[in-house]
Amino acid sequence: MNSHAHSPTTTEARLQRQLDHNRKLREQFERNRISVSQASILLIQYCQTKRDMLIPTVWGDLDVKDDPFEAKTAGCGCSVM
Amino acid sequence: MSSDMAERIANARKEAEYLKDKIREKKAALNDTSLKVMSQELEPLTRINIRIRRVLKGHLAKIYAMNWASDKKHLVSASQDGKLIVWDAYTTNKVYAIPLRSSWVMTCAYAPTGNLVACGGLDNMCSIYNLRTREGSVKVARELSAHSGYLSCCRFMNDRQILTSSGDMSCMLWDVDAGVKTMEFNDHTGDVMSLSISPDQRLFVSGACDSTAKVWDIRSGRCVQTFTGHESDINAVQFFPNGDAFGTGSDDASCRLFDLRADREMNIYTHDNILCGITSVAFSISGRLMFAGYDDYNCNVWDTLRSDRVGVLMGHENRVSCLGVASDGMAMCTGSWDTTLKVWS
Repeated sequence: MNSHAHSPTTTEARLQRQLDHNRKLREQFERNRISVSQASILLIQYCQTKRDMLIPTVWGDLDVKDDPFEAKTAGCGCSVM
Repeated sequence: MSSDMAERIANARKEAEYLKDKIREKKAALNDTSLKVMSQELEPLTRINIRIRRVLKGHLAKIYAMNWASDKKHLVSASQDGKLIVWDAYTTNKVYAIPLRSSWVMTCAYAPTGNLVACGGLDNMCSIYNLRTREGSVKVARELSAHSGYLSCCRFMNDRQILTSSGDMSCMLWDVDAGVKTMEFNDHTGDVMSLSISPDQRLFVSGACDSTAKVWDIRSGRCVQTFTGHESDINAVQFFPNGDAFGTGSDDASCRLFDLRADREMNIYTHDNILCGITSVAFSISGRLMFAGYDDYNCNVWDTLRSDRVGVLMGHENRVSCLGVASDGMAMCTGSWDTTLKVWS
């Protein structure tokens, strides 16, 4: 007597899930990856070519006139002594 | 169970094990060094001269989210005082103060055109507000409802499309005009906490409480890559400016950098005396600096390449809940449970 009465639908579902999982694994296997050294070079290159005003030691200080957070004096620009 | 079925399942399992081994082999062969080692010859960054330039005061309760506008001048913040405030970051003026129907807001976003802002939270909805109505007042334009859990993050692709992430473990793409969901992204097994759209808008990355980050193809709805490594909830994700890598922040007290083309973790940013979770991450315009907001009230600044900590921005009196870098890279803004936002430059 069969004491493990699995209904056909649940075992089919199990097989389907496993096959779907395997399909994803196959995609992962076939994916083209670059090496850590190649990825590192690309990241380093990007950091070194994009001007970054938050890093003055590398890119130079911002001119006061280009700094949007410097309070600009309106009117004649006189200061009261 | 028929013996045929049993055999097929057993064969499939064997194939899975074989594929997993082959994947491991392939990945190991590419693991020829580390980003940290490759960056050793770079000059360490010493003088990080970033200080508070503006303090945005006005919220009456904890700030949970902020997002810069594309014009680099305006930003929107969301607080559980039930308000969205749109600020001029240069003058500190409040341009709009928008009362919300639900005060349990967890996220907000500014559309690239500047026409719209969005927010959402425990109401499970994403509410869209039109800032530039003909009548001159700010109005609710749409209430996007379909998530069965809280809205953790929302980001506009353009005025017509917005992406959302939710505690219901899914992400959704919406047509704002039609007010309907056009794509659903399902694969996470935990609350999705954060999302970031790639610069070319073909992909987005999500971080979730299942400790994984997933990259999705927006058009097809498919999860194209999954990244593991974190040991706890990922609270924040942000694309590296070139769109080929992304940073994450987690409750496991570490930030990490993952590269899409290498398909792996590239770096980890952590310190023995950092024991608290990260709430938010953002990169400077070159990607060299990674800003991370922490539960211990500070924002740490990391050298993305060398993984050194190059600065600690102390300025808040409570948890830093959100932060962002303006699109021209000139300023960084932190938002906190201490009810203030601070603009650093």
